Amino acid sequence: MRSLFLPLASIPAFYTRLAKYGETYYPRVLERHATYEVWRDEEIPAEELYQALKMIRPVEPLKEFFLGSRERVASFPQLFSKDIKPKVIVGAKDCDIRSLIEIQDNVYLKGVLEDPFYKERREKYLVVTVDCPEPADTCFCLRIGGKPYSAWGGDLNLSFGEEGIIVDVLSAKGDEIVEKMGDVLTEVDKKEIKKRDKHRADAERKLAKINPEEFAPDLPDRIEHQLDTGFWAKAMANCVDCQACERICPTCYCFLLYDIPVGKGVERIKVLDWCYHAAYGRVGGGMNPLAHFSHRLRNRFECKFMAFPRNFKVYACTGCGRCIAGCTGKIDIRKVLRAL
Amino acid sequence: MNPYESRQANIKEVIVETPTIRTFVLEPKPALSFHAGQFIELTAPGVGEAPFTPSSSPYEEESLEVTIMKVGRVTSKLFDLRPGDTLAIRGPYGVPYDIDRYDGRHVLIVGGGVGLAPLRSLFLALLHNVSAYKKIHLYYGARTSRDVVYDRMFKEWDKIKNVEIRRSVDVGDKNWKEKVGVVTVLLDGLPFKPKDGLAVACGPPIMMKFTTKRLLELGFADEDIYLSMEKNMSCGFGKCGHCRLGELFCCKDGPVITWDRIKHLEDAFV
Repeated sequence: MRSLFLPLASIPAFYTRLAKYGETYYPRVLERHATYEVWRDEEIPAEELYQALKMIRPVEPLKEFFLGSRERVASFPQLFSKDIKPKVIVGAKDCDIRSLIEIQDNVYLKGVLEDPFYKERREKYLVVTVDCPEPADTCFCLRIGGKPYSAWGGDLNLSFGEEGIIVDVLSAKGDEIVEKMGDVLTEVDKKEIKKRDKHRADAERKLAKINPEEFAPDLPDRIEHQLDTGFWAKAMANCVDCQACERICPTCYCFLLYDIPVGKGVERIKVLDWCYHAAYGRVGGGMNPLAHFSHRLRNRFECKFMAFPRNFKVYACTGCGRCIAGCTGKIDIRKVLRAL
Repeated sequence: MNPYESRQANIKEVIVETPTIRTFVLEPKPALSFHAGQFIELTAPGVGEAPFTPSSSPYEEESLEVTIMKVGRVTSKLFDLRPGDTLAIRGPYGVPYDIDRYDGRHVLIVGGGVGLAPLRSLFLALLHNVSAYKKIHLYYGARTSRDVVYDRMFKEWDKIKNVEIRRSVDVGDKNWKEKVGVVTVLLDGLPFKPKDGLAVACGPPIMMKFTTKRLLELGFADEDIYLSMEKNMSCGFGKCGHCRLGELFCCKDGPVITWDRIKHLEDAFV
């Protein structure tokens, strides 16, 4: 793995060079949260960009770029060809890149058929991951197979040294990009790496302090055997059914297809779907195996912590904490898992 | 290849089976071949898709039949269509029946209501090589005599040497000369030992539940009970998540799933 150094002052130039590859999204602080914005060569102080990189995961999950909330996937009788242009996404944390590689890739690239839209985006989009030196109280990646830093999975990774950023090259595509960076990137000093390693160890310690307890190793079995609707009703007592947790979850992958008449033809639209939605399981004739909300709540936990690990050896949760931060009813997924 | 794309299919004929069930004879372009047990996603133009298992023989290459009950939005639109109209289909999806396992055994087919439609496809596939099996037992239950599907064909099937047919209706009437009672009554006095055969069932969830219970009581092995677990299958190829049943997805691991794979679930038939 090749490592280079990005001086703090060169962050705007780094983004400008990335933007030559494709439309570039970078994290910017808005109302105390990092959120993705398109880089337009604006004059934003490097220090502001630097601080945004240090924030926890952006509000939007990475799936927003790769799945999209609504897209046309077919039309007939006239066919259409998809038009997917390269993009660069800077700012994904380990929790998000794992949601792509360990969860979405398993769903959309494996099995009986590939999703051609997702596949093309995975091929064309460049992901620049960033270390997560200051975990928040909602973060629990460490307890669910992750780390507050990413040394794999993306194309480049940015980590924090003494006086700037270390750029690790993680893929051939990433290598090609840094080759064209010219003097934006320089040689990296050993003391920067040493400082980076300290930041990483500090972040891990902080996460362990936030989440002192491990989850039970047999979560799949506990969920399978938790058939008491009272347990699930209690867990969801404060839920107002807003579905925010599912919309911002980087690992939720469900979608629904529907057709709309356009002119003399039909367009097939794929929209992300949410299993808390009352009609999620309904079949023709109106029968609904998930009619009761406590069944739908259990269904979600069953999907993430029972079915997915049994099929793919990994939980469909990366501990990003978005569902905790975004919950109107202040439901904490960690508490539900520990109560099982 | 775009798996979300459908191909066109012309409606060649519409056969009225019962007041609420019709068989659509389709000519897909290009032709679509399938194996018994697989399903297709059928589009009612401008309304949307729904999954159906073809009811015709997989050996029939020119056309494909789908028997449909009018129950909801998509099926209501389909019932408005006439011969000459066009709809769209994609597939086939799912895992076929592993009929190689059936060789030399008794094959018991238990259908309830319109649930006989996908079983007819299996039945016709088995007839293609009828001497390979000890005997094919086709047991069918409908609500009333007016709800019996494929009535015209039963007479022909009954004449086939290696086939045994039993039928029942839940509520009898003066025209019905056969058994009266729910479909499980047909399983009384089974003419073969369960260990020498296997059972395939399809019908409404409540019928499947009690049929499975009865088959287990009779001594059928878990892995010899084949059940059509058709849930809300939107994409058809294991991506959209809706038809998950425990660790399985009905669309890609089924829709026909043997009992041993789902018996651990709280209630597989809900």
